[in-house]
Amino acid sequence: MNGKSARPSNAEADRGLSRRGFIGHVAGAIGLAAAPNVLRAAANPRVIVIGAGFGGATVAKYLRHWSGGAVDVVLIDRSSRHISCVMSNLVLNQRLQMSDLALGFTDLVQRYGVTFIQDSVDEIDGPGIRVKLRGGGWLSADRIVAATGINFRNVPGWDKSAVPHAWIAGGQTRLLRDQIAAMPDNGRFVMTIPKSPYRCPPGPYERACTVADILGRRSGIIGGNAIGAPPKVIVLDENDHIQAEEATFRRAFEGMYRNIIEYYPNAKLQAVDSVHRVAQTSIGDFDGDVLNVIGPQQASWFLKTSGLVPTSQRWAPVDVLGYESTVSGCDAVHIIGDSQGSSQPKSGHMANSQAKVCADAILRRFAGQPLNTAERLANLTTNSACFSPITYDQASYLTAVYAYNPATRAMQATKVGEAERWSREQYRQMFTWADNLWADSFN
Amino acid sequence: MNRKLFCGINAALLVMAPMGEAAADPSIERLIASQCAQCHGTDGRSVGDIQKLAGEETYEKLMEMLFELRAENIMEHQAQGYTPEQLRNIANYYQNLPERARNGGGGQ
Repeated sequence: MNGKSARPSNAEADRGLSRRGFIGHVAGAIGLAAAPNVLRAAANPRVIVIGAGFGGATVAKYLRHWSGGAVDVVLIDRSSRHISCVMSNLVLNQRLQMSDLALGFTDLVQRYGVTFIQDSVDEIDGPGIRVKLRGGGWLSADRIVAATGINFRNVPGWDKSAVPHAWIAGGQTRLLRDQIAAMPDNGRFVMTIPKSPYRCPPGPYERACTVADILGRRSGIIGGNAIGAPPKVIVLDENDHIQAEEATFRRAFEGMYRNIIEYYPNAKLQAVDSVHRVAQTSIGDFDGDVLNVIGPQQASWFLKTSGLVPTSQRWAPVDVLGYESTVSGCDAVHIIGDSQGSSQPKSGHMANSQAKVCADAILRRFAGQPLNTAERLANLTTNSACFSPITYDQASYLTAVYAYNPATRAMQATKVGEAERWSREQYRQMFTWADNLWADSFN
Repeated sequence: MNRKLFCGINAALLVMAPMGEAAADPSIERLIASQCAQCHGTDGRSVGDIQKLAGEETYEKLMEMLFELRAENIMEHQAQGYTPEQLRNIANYYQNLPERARNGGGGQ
């Protein structure tokens, strides 16, 4: 409805903004055409959403949609578009281009009336319900939602520009794609998987299959025209077993990829030699033509410096009734998606799912309604579903439903299911699934 | 553009839900039904060839999925994660939504 995204200049943003001042500031940035809208909205409660990935985009959209425009939503992200991790392994085998993964914010702004600010957030003041923009100045709100994904923990020697993770999509995805394309036909690909919880539980194993398929076809091992030694995909997993779709991936690793994939559990990454592409692990050193380190993960660093992640914890503790922070005095800050510390899996689909519970909770708070009515608790569910490419034209799937358990006050899995076999039909369904997930979050 | 108007219409439709079993608070049905939208589209209006839910009667089909325990496709697995009451709330919500968004707008 506002028609354009708003991006304040540093000079404009360089002051502590009261709510009234902020509205004037946004009105100035988005132009006169939107002024009546903004003025009418002056009495609306305001929510600041930090991070425009699957969780942030969804909560921004649904807050506007469900409130009929009666809540002002300011969405902040350092990028002008989101690059989807979902489907990004298909860039590695060049079934998709990078541009296929780019998700813009035009519909959020024009169709739903979200105000977008392109900037980084350096700090959240939970008790004060305000955020500090890197561009300068504080923005105040009635509620804050942090949907800021993951950060990597430090690994000695790890230079991400030489040894990509490709676990936050974008330049890293392109780098890994290009490194794989430049590998010798019988080359050796080494990858590491961090201790759970990490983003996208099936993703690393899906990647192992995708790369094995690429190298297997290129070398002729798959197709039966092999000359010389087979290519290798060395999978170094800090966990003691495959973390998702275990039956599927075990069948792939031990079946059609048995000559290519070597899977090692309990291999903890200790250091990286980024020049020589060596993963130094608890079970030995492994060098590759390409080294892909999916490093150990934690909540965004600024959630920690903002006091939303207690010392000695890696993720932000929340109450799953509305994803409000359980840190004292910070219950007006909601954390959804990968950064929050509930027991649910970290995925774009799940972030979208939690975003709707969060949006519902925020609207109830604004209406003075409790979150813990018996009826709401009985209908509090989330779910995750995804498809995993196993070959260049076949996929498996994984799905899980979570429901609120009043005894543990946690979301508990009520059903986890995986495909009995991978198939071309499921590969086709994967694109429909992704299109709908992208649309429900961003369009 | 006329979000408030649409909101009123949707609320009226929910109040008139014919099954007589609707949750006391319509937004409860909306909350659980929105959990289908990742795959079936916002307000059950999907893109591509996945089943649309808006305006559809799905309760019988969902109950079959819950009790027949075939689990041969992703939706059958998914359905088995819910209680009959939850599935009824989901079905009630979508059955009473218009098949198409009025004016094609994103608001309610």
